[in-house]
Amino acid sequence: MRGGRKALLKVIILGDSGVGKTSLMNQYVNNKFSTQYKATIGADFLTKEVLVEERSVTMQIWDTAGQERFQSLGVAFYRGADCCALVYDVNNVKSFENLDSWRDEFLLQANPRDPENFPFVVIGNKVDVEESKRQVTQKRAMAWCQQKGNIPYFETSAKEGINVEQAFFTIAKNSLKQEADVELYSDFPDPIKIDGDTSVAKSAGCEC
Amino acid sequence: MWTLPTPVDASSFWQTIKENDLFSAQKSKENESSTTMLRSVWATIQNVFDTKQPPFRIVLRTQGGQDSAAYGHMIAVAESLKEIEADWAWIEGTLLPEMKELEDKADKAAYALSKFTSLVQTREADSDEKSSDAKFRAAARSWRQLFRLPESERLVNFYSCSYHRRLMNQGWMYISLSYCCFYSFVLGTETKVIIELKDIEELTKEKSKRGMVSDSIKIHFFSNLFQRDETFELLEYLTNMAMQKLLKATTTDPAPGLSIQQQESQAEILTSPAAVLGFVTASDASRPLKQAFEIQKRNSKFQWLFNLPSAETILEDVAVICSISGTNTSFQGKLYLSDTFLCFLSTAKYQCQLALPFFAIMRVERINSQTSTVAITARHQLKLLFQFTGERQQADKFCNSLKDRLQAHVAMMKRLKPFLTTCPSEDLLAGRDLQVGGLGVTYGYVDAKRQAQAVEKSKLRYWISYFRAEFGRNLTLVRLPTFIKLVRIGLPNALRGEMWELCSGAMYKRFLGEGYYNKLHADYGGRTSLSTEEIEKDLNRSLPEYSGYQTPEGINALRRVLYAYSYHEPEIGYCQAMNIVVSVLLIYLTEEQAFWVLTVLCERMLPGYYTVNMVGAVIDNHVFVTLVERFMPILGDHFKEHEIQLSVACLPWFLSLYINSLPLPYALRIMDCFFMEGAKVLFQVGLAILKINGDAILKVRDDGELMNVLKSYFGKLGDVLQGSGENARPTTKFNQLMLTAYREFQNVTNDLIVDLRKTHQLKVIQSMDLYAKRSVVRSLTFTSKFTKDELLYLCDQFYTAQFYTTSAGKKQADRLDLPQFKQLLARIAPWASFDSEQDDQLARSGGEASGKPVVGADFIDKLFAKVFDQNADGLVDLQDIVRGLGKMIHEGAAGALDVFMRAHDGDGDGKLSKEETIQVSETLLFLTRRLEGDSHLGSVSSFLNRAFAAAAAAAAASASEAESSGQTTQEAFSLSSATLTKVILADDFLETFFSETLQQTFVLQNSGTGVQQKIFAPPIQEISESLWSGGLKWATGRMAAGRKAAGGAVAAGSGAAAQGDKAGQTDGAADAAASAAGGKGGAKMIDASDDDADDDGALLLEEVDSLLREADLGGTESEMASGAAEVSPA
Repeated sequence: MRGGRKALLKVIILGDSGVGKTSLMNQYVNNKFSTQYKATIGADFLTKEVLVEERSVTMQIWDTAGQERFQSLGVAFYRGADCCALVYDVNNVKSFENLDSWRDEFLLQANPRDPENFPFVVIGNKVDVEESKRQVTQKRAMAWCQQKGNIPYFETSAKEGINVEQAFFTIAKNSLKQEADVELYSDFPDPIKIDGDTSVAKSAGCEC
Repeated sequence: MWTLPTPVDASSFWQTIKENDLFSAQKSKENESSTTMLRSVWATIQNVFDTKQPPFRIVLRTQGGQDSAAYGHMIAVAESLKEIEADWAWIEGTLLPEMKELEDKADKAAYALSKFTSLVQTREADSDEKSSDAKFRAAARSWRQLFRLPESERLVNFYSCSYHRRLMNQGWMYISLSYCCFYSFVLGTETKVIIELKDIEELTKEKSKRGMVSDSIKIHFFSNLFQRDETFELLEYLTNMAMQKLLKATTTDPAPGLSIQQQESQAEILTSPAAVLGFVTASDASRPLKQAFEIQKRNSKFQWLFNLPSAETILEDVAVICSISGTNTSFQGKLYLSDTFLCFLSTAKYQCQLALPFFAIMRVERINSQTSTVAITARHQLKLLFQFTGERQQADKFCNSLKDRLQAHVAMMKRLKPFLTTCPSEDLLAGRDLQVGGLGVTYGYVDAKRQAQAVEKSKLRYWISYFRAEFGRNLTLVRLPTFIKLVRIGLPNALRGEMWELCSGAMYKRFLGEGYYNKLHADYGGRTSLSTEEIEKDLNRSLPEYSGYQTPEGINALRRVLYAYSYHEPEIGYCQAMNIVVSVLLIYLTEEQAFWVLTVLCERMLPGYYTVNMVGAVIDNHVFVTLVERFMPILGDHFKEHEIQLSVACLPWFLSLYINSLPLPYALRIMDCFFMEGAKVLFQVGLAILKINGDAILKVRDDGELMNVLKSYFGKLGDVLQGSGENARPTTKFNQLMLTAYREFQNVTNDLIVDLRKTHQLKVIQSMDLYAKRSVVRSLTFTSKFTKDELLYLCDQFYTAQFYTTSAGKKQADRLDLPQFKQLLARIAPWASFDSEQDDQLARSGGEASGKPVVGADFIDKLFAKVFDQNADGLVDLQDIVRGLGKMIHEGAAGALDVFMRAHDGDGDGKLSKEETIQVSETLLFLTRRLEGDSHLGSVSSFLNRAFAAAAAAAAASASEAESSGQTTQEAFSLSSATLTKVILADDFLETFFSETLQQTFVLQNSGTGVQQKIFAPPIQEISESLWSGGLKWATGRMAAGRKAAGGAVAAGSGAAAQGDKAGQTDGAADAAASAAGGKGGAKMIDASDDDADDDGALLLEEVDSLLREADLGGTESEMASGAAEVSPA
């Protein structure tokens, strides 16, 4: 084992209210699905031991409140995150359109060293619902992920346990990779920040 | 301006300038008093005692001649001769003829006095001079003169204090609605401080009578306050109001609870149902502000004390001794009378408290014995005796008011009987099964223990005996110590709902707002909004484990209550956690009851928790952290050391009243206490949780570990602890928690919480405001070349301009209209600000100040309409402003010139007409004079000449063209953008002006500290005085032109000569024009420039002349000033 690596990976799950963040977390950690979850107030977390690349690490998965106004409560626990999972409901186009602002908000609050390469994973949940109700096509979602720097994309069903394991495994893997990269970067004292600022401004300018 | 007639002495300080048989107009001699030193001392004394007088006054002589001691009444004061003359003219023209009929001089005087009194009182019906307190009016006047705040600003109060800045300056602090100002004048040094209340981040009281205000970067320190606490409270109150407004200013999205239909019609936004219901207290407009604030403060404390609706105000209060039949003790305390309630609170804490609505009172008897006593019989056999301990008169007054109120409520008594059928306590006493209630009646209650049934029964027995002992019930309940104990041991399920409703005060609201809940559904039912969408998502995620919520009945009830609230308060709409709280309320309460409890929670018990920015929750989190640090410093240090954010673990506790964290039966127990005792319970329990787990918590190193410790503790609350002491009984961990909460943290009172909330509110709102502005800035699509800080500053100024021009309650779109735009520009560019002292003096001495501010204002209007307001809807947003300013500032001379071109090109054809060209030169004149003084007049005049020459050339070209094509053209004059650029850039000065100077005039960072210090050296003062008397001479002239001519004469030739020389040097053509102008009458020239009917060459020349003449005259005025400066010392 290489030194300096922590054995705890912090993962934040973000997304609109009701897209299934709590269910995903519980499906992954406890392999259970329930219709009896309460709306998450503030934040909560569960931990799970996983084996990634022959290393045993603890994943601390933070589930958050989805309602927009909860953002103002301060999101102290974003800091030090190793990966962020952006979740939307494939049957709700608005929850997909909001991914942009969730991503921006996360980068702003968590203030990672290298925002361009921070590992995100996008999860389109509730694929178990009948196809006719679907509002966001796989193609559209993948195009978005492509545009935001090749974010890995998964379509899951927390209810039926489809693809959940795979999504979180990628999360764990990419978090570890991120750590290694950060170590590399840390040799250069702070060259990233300035870059990051201008690029954010640029991208904002181009989209309009 | 007219003042309330005030007796004055004949003083040698005043010199009479006009006189008739009743009135004298006088001028202060102060300026002419002998030595400079004496004058300075005099001014200091005036300042310290705040006796500063305007220099002119009119006195109504009431007794004899000038020699008698009581000379007469001052009826008017003025800052300038002009004003006093206007007043004088009114007296001579209107008042004296009115009084012709009166024979006797004394009669005339009396008539005049009453006339002026009524004049002043009607005129000042809505100003801060409303107070008849002469001192206050004098202060308001000096404050207005000194600080030049917007007209709408009103002085609340003023205090003597000293301000620390290297030295102590003794002076006056003026507190108005949005500003805190300080002024001192000590031995020739003037100190002015202006603090915007909305910028204040912290207000603290320091030891030994000092108050401190700190805003974003600067710290202000005031001391020597005689009434520190009063000052502090007032400042605190006003600052908090400013904060509330600030919060509204930056949340600009439409209210989430407004349906799409409502968002379209503005009218409906302004009258939300809550406002219609009268829950928003209207401030009493007939009183001076300070008094109004004090009354408001007292009332809100009263409402808080008795949990009354916010429309209740104290009408009377007296000291009484209260005895209740059924107890042997009597309680000393205070009896209050409000619009709907008779309230009593014992002096000793927790001994006796009651709020009796008038409609529940059956009989009132006045027992007249030695002491005056009132016997009151209310419903439920409640008999009360109140013995008045104060003055007899007071008691009489109280009883009369009581009689009036009782009569006013007779009609309501009819509603009492049906209302009581909704109170379980009635059923309970009658031995019936519960008729009405929440879901619990059908679906059962949640209980922790198996022996719950037995416990419930014995608890009910206690309550029944309390009710039977004639301590009233539901609306008439008297809170005695036994009551408090009975609540603390946990309410029985049958009574839980009723007690929550009663304790929180929601029951009163339900009674008074009868039918409102159903009306909400009738009026708004079926509408959808962002909030209703969010509610739908959460209905099944509220209390899914409770059987009632596995049925449509439960879900529908929950939906209806939450929908109703979003209709009721669209600005709050729906916030997650409300669903959880309401789902529990509904087990014990009917829909309507739960709705009213929810309104009390949002308005009073948890203020600001569920708003769009959840500011209340954030503030309470800060309060909680402060309490942890204060009561458990070791834990506090530990959290700091490991950067553990308590909010992660604790915010859900408060937001969901512990329902989300603790097993429900325990959360219910906490809610029992919370509804009875208020928000402090939440804090006490929170502190106790941390204290009990202290050892474990000291081992945690991050948020996650802390949450793990707490979670495992909450899972074991039912565990039984063996008592350690001798008589200790085994008790559950939960009971230990409640004991700890009450015993160890009894010092955590509601007052302390309210205080701490106020303290933290400033910082929290400021940081939220900053956050909101940052995200506004981030969302800009075009940022020109402004830095982030500059953009943030612009954004700040943008909202500031809006802040001062909109009323507190109104929500606004984040766009500025023209007046707001002007304010914004004035804040970032000095030339755009027209209320500096200099402008005022100009206006005073020379009427319209040669029209210069008018030109400037006109230019700004044009900028707004043609450059900034791109979609021509009369509004600009931040993006428009950034774009427009970017063009002016960051795109060099070309950008700035383009702005000029567009601003003046009225018809948007890309060419300037003759008038427009003249306007350009006027604007240039205005800007260069403001920025550079008068040294570059030549450049402007030469610009005009060149422009006309160029236009003439172009016109000639086009004329010949027109001739050849056989058309007659009226377009003899036009100046294209390219020509304008060429003409401007031909002049070195103008070239620099457009490429550098103009850009440098914008100040896009916080400039200075709000403190201005000026030192008045005696010679300068003398100069200004001689100038002043010069100004007087001008002012006596009637016509504006005549006045200017007189001014020119005063200038004693030298200035005029100098001006002539200079004009000669700069440009030959201008010289010729200037001399031509010199020979002609001014008034005629002005007419000529207005006349634009035809355009022959001669008139064209005349227009140039008139413009230049104006420039010359303007120059003459200031030239004269510098001329005088040279002459005087010699």
